[in-house]
Parts: sequence; C-alpha cells; structure tokens
Amino acid sequence: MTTQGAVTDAFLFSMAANQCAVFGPNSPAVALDVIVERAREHTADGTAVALPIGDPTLDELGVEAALLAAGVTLLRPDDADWYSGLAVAGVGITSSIAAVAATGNVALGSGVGLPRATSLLPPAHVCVVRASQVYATFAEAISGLLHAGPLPSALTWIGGPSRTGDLEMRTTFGVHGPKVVDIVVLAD
Amino acid sequence: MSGKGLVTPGPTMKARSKVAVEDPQLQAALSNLDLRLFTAGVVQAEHPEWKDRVAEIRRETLADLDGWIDKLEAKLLSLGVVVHRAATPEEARAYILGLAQREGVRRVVKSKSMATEEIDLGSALEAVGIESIETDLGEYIVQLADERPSHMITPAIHKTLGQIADVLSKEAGTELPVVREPLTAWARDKLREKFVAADMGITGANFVAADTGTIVVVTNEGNGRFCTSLPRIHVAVVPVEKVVPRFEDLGVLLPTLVMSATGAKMSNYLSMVTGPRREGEIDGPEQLHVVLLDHNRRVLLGTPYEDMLGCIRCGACLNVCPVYRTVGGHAYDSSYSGPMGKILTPLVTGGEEGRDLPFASTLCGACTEACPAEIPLADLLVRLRADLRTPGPVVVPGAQKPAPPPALPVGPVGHSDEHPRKPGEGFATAVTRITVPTRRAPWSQRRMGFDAWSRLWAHPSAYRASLRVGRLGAKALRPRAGWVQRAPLLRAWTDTRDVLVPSGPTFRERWAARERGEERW
Repeated sequence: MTTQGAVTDAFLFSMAANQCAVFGPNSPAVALDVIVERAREHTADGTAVALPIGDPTLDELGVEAALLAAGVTLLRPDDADWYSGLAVAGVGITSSIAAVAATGNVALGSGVGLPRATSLLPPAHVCVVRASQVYATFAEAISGLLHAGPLPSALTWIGGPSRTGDLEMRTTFGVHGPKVVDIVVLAD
Repeated sequence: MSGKGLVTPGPTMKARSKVAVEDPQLQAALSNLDLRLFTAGVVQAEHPEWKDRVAEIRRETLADLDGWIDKLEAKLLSLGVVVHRAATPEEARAYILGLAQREGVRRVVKSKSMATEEIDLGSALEAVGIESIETDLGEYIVQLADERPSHMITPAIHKTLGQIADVLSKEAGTELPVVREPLTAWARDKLREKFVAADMGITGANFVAADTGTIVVVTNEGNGRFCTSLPRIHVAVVPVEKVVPRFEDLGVLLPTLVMSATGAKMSNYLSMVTGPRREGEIDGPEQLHVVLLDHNRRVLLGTPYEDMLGCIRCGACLNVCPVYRTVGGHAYDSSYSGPMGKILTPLVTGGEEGRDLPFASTLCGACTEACPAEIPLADLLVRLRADLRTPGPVVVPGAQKPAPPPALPVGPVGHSDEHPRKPGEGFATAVTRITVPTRRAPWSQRRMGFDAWSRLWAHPSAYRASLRVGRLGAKALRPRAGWVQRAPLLRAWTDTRDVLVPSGPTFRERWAARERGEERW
C-alpha cells in the first residue's frame, strides 16, 4: 500500500527532477509564508504579482491579504490593464486542481477569474498544490478529473520550466513559458 | 506535399541519400540521434503492458472510425465548436483561408503539427498575404531557413548548432553566439511579439477525445499553450485517425507517446482544450474550429493498411531506423519521413508521391520492434513494395463519389456546415478493396533471374551442382576478406549487396563422406 505521504514525497521528487523549486508539505501558515517570500523574490525588481480572482485554495490561504501586507504590487484579472500588465509582471500565482507523482506534473483549470495566461506570460510561476490532490499515476489523475465534474475549457498540465530539445537534442530552458516554477505543497 | 527546400535535393530517394551521406554537417547533426536510440525501449522496459493497451485502443477506434468521428462531431458541436470535414488538403486549406480572410486575420501563429505540414498550410497562408509564424523553436528555425522539418519530434535535427546560429543571426540582423541559451533567449523575445500580435492560432492535435470533445496538444516549450490561449481564433487541423473513444484513454496514450518520443516520463506541457472560451472568461479563443482531414485515410479502413492509421506520431521508428539515421529526413522528400513516412506518404498521396520510399529499407524490423502501437511496419513495407508495382493509387476507392464542394462561407459558431450526417458522409469516398495486380508485372531482368533460379533449384541434382559451381565461381570472383563484392552482369544487384564466399563442402557432401567412413564427427 502506498500512503498519501509517500505519493506526495514522490511528487516532490519528480518536480525537483523537472527543475522546479519545491517546498513542503507545509501547514497553511508556513505555505503562506513561502508563497509571500517567493513572490517577493520574483518581484524584487519592482514588478507585479499576477493573482487570480476566486481561486478556492489561494482564497482559503488568504494569499491576497498576505501579499498586500507584504507591500507587493498586485495585478488582477479584473484590472483594465491585465494583459499589458501581465506582459511585464514578475510572477503569476495559481493553484492546481490535480497533480501526478509518477509523471511529475500539475494540472491547472481555466475559469472565471482564472485566466490561462497567469501561468504563461510572467517569467516565474508559483503553483500551490494540495497534497490530497496528488495522484500516484497520470491515468488515475485523468480519471479523477473526468469524474470530478465538467472539464474546464482549458486544462493545462505543467511539468516545470519551459524547455526545448530542438538544439542538437540537448535540453535548454526558458523558451516560451516561465523560466522558473516553484511548487508549494499544502498539507491538508 | 512538397514546395519547401531540402538540404539534400535529388530526383529519387537513392539520389538524395547519396547527397546526404556525403554532407559532413548533416552527418555531424544526425549523430545527435544517438541520444534517442534507446528511448523506444523505455516503455517496453518500464511499462510492458502499455503497448498492448495502446494497440487495443487504436484497433477499437479504427474498427468503427466513422462512428467515433460522428460522436466526436456531435460533442464538439454541443461545446460550440465549428466542425469542418475536409476530404482533401485543398478543401482544408480553402476552409482555413476562407475563415482567415472573412475574419480579417493578418497574423497566424502555428504550433508544430504534422497535419498542417501535410496540407502545406503555412505556404498557402503566406501566398494570400497572411503572416504565418511557426512557434516551435525547431520549426521556426527550419521556416527561417526555408526548409521543411526533417524529424516529426525534433524538426531541426539536421542542423548543427553552428548552422542554427547562422539562421537565427541572419533573422536577428546581428551575430548571435553559437551557444544554446542566448539563441533560445533571442527566439523567446522574438516569438513573444508574434504571439501577442496574432489573430489566429493554428495547431494540430495529438489526440481528440470523442466523449468529451477534448483536443490535446503536447509541447515542451509552451508554444502550444500560447497558440490555444491568446489568439481570438483557434483552428485545430485533425487527421481523422487522431480521434480516441474516451478521455480516459489519454491516461495511457499520452505517457506512451511521450516516453516513446523522448524517453521522458511526460512532456513539459499538455494543453487539453474542451471548447472555446466560456462565459465570463477573459482569455482563450472566442472561436474554435476543428478541421477533420481525411486525405485518403478512411479508404484504408478494412484493408491491410488500416494498421498504419494506428500511428501516434512518436517518432520512435525514425530514431531506431538505420536508414533514417544515415540519411536524415530530407532524403524522403515528404512531410513524413522514416519507416512510418515510407508507408504513409504513398498511401495518403494516393500513390502520387514517394513510390520509391518503401524500397529504401533493409527490412531489419527495428521499426516494428520500436512501435508502441504495435504496427507491423516491416510487413507493411513488404506489402507496399508488391502493391506499388502497378501504377496508380495503392488502395483504390470503390464507389467514386465526387468530393462535396468546400462549404464556404461556414455557418455560425456551434454549427457544422451540414448536419446531421450519415456515418462517413462529408468525406470523399467509401471504403473498398485493395488493388491486387491482376496480371504479372512486366518482365524484368531481376524477375527473369529469380524465375530461372526457382526452376533450377526445383531439381535436386541441379541444386547440388549449382552449389559446387557457386563455390568455385565465388573464388574466381576474387573475394575480399571472404566477401564477394562484384559479379559480372549482376552489377545492379551487387552494388548494394555482398555475399560470403561459401565455406568448404556442404552438409550433404560431408554427410555422404561420413557414411562412407571417410570423415568422422
């Protein structure tokens, strides 16, 4: 029998192997500290933090209030300059709706207040993953998402920083998407 | 399927191969394929049960392809997707060009797709003044070089880093260093401008699930995410065999595809698109169009070539093929190269292109071993060789219905151009039979030779005598290091084949000697 703890450990190992920075599993309070600390580091040059509206995990943690208290500039999807702002934002923060230990990837769902571009345009991405949503295998996650309700219009799986093998088949990072991905696991 | 430059030009695969093996830069670049030589075996080693499951899903799909297409279409329509059935590349291009012109599209970003290569969509867009940019780094490089991709997973595998730096430097107007990171950084900035300015994103699809209508695009770079997220129109060009019955089938198909392609456990990004942007969302395409492309595929159903439609485009057969590894992708002069390309090219072009490709094979069977969908590639090559002896298409459609005219302009979002349909309706032709040559091919020297050989060896005494003659003859041909390399009158045969000098007495002769007590063993 594999316990959820072992699955979470395997997930963290896989994500680290994919060149992500991994944190956790953490209590909500510690997870919040990590998120704020990472956000500040990615925006140390004065850029903004892109934060979705209505993300259940981020709202439950109180990420918005903590970031405002830390004095960072927030960019929200209902801002008139969301897109132009996102092009120069320092980091996008999201939560995942599922994650997989064996393949080392997280699934993000689009929705109202949850734009696709949050985790795509900024050079850094911080993703909060609930330990209870980590599946052992990709097949289990696919099955779990299908039965959890209607699929989002965009279901995006992310393994780590953007990469290519097109230059003489050697891995090179940071092609189109984020160059840095931080994974913060929330023990729940 | 042509029109773009090849680094190895020539009228036949044989001629192009000769150029390829004498090109030192190409040979240096191809040596990087060594890094993928063993990836094909990873699935077999780590998850041997996946191959059977993948093959089972593909066979189930092909057994009722028209039914799954109808189911997919109905689901897509319910999601608000516009569906267009295209019998030919011309129809697919006409639909997309019509859509682009009607919508005032000026810039298109493309995510790497074999289907859009097959229909040569990029050139068609450029021809009407629409900027079309390939956004996969490898594809972008070959587009700038005005070439075609030479490998379905790694399009610029035929170029060394130095050549790539030259291509990008020319576009940049400044000399970029021959170092991977700064080259990648330059392309990132350049292509980011293109993504933001694009009105239309065009992708292929690795799979489309019939039950949920989900389009799956696999990338490592994130360009597929951009193409399906930012432009207001997304067009997915989907060859009909990309349909899979159930979303849950992706649980095994995707890990198998990625592991066979690169050896990785999963690709860095998967975009699963289920319908266009929904109410209240601020990004994602306002319009989503799916172009279902037949192009001589459905006519293969029920024939021995049906198995070929099980291909999931992982590239494993290319990576292990001794021919591909020696000559590279451009020697095939087709969108599809390697073992799968040798089979698919003459089939989907109706026998008009690539007729010499199936003959450029050693039939070693490495491709069959590597194939995660259990396609008997080597067997299909042998069959194709026979079927290509008669001119014309390999598989001839039966009832020749004329293709329906391309439906332009299309209906409003959420409606097919014609609905409801009967199964398979909207595509060109019905399934039928395979051509079997009814009369023997014209006599050739080789054929006469084999015929004479066959008659000679039908007689035991002639057989025994021929072995003795062969043994003496081989010595007379002055073998080098035990190999006969040339024979008078047989140059066409011996140019590419050597034979070992037969060793001493035959088993029969030695057995007879033993019976006579002259030899003991």
